[in-house]
Amino acid sequence: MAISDRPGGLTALAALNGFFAISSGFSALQRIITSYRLFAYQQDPEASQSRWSRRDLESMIEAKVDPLQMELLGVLSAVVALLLACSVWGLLKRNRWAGKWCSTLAALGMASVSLLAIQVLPLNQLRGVGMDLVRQLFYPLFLLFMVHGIFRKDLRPR
Amino acid sequence: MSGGLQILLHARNSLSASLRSGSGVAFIVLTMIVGLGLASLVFMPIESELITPEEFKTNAAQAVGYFLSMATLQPGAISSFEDRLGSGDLVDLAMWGRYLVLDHPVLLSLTVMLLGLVLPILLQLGSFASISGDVQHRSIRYLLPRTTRPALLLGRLLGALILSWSVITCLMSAIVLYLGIVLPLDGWDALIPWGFQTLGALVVLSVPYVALGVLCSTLFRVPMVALMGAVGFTVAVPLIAFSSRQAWEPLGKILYLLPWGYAHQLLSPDGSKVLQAALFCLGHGLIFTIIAVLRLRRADL
Amino acid sequence: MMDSHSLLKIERLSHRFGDKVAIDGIDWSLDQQGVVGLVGPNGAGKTTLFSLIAGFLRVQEGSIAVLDGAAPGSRSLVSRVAVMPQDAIFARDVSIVDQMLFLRSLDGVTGATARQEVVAALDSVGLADQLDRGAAVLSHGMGKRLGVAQAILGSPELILLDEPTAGLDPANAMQVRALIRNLGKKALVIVSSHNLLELQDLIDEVAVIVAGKMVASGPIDEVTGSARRFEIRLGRAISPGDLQQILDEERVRGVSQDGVQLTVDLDASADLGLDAALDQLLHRLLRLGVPPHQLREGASLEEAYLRLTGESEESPTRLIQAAGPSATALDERDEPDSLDAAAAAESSDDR
Repeated sequence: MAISDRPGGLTALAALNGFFAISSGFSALQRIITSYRLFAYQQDPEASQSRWSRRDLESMIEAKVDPLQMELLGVLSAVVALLLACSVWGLLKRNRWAGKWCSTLAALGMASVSLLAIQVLPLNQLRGVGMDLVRQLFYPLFLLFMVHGIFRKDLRPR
Repeated sequence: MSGGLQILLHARNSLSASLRSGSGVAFIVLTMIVGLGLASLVFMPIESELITPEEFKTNAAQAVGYFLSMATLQPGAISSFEDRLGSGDLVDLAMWGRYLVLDHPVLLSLTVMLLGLVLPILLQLGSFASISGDVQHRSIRYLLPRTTRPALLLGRLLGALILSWSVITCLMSAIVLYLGIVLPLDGWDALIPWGFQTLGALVVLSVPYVALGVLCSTLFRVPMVALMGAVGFTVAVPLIAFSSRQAWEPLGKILYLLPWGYAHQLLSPDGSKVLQAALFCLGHGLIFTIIAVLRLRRADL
Repeated sequence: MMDSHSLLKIERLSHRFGDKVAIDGIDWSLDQQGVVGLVGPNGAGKTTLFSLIAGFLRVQEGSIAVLDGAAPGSRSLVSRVAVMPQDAIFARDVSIVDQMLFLRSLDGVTGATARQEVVAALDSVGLADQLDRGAAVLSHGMGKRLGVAQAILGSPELILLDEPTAGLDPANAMQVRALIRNLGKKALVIVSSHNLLELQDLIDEVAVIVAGKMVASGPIDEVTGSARRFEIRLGRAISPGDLQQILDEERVRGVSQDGVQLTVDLDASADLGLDAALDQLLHRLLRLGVPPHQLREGASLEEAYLRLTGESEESPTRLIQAAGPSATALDERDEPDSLDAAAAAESSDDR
């Protein structure tokens, strides 16, 4: 007997979600670390920082980046990463909650983080602007279409 | 049941199966991400304010002119720059460049020209398993008692075409909407007609390449071999044509084994040339389809 | 068997795979509905023959006329021929019920009617609880049953079933056999199987194919020579003399002994048929003082098969046959119970 009757498309979606989970996880880590460094820089600008990172932090302060907002983005990215990771398991196991709803929340989260980032971050901190952002928004929309359309029956309670 | 209805049933089934398969998901995601990535590359200089739209158009005109002169460089008598200048060929090219860059939304024109280079390869991802997947696992043996081989092949081809056309339409819609709403260099009155015309060009251009994918799918029993065959042929034809032309000019005609030699005419300002290129594309698609039908009819499955 | 038109006519059919001859000049004609068995050793050409009839393989030499003269794979045969291929698998990305509904839609039946038929077909093979599963998760036996279910969808006139019960548990195999028996009342069903005991009870006609050649075909009684084999367990082993007495009975064609197990081939063709032959045998056993403890019918088709395919030499059977005045043994080896060496030599010559 075969191990699973999971459609190949669900496996591919799980793999893509895994890829985006790792990407969001790194992004979250980077943003949280940056927010703490911003806090530290604001409290003591002379504290030991490398010249490169000091310049980077100064540019963010000049762009009026709020460390709290940066932290919030980091936390949101971490939540998205977690949801995507759960959805990987859910899609592979064809679990309705972990597969369908974690994917849905993760897709909404990915889109929200991309849009929020434009409001909050300076250009040099953004992963993409303009058309590149549309490219980033494509995957969440595609994920929603797949889990609520094509794989609707596969992710329902059995 | 009539053959036509069976073709439609196969098309619907093939479309649904493609969307549920790993290769179908990979095809959609890759095509969209690569397409939007190309558009992003084209838009970036203006979006990042590295260049003004006017400067961009001047540079784009040069790039388009170079592209067109390369694309229209025919093997045969009129091949040197002087000959082309004398024949008025280059004047026509300048008009053509103006048509694409100044008369119509330049960003859309450039994006479509780049897509025309990349889509032929990406489209193979949506069609390579049309027949070979079923032949490899012999699930085609469940279908054959209930259908004819030509109906099966034409249905699968139609399914692959509909999937490809849907993805291209989504891609072009995203680009046109973005150009209209976020980066309004041109008004909707210019964007919408040109959007439809370029969409039509890409849709027509997709026909021979999807048919080639289906043909390879009937020639090879293993889907990955079919994919490699289709992509290899698509890439090898222009490479071999350009390199062999150096050795012996008539060999450059190899380019016409695929629409590489005339596809740019789909964006020509001359309507008759557009029509001619579109008919050539459809003819190419028809030839590949006929070969595929003949092959499948004779194949031991 | 019901009277009907010509359903399958094969003439001088040959097929090669490279240098290997898979089918070698087969002539075969089936004119009536019913269940027909196709038997033969592994690699004899059964699946190739099925594939040629179904139109999966192109006919290289000879001709096949299916259902009133159509060539295999013709448009006129669409949905009139059903096939359960041996080694095909269903698509893994689509649920079983959706695949079956699609197959039925190709026959022109859709909607609630199609769903009812599909559910009924799956129910008839015990797969009604697997509707929404993917085919990849099915066991070998379940896959076989799914193959049978798709073959019985609609009302095909010719059904080709390649090893339909291989790998099935006894209950499901019985269910499938009952299904095939019913199908045989309204269609020509050709079944290939290695389970000869099963086929013997199921089929009206049999064809034996060996090394690409059809060595025998016709009604099962003709092919088996009206021999009916019985396995009898005795209270004790009997002596060679007693064995000879059993063999001397008029309606006993052959007998062999393995401890307390007796294998007897009876001639059921004479007056009163099987009843009289059994009556004669049981009376003889009672007279010898060895009442049977258990009696069950064995595979007489198997005996014919082994004889026709020349495989009996490798069989451990120690059968002694009585063919009229001179007894014929199928096994020429020097066995303790062998009573007629001359007959054994004769049988060897036949082969």
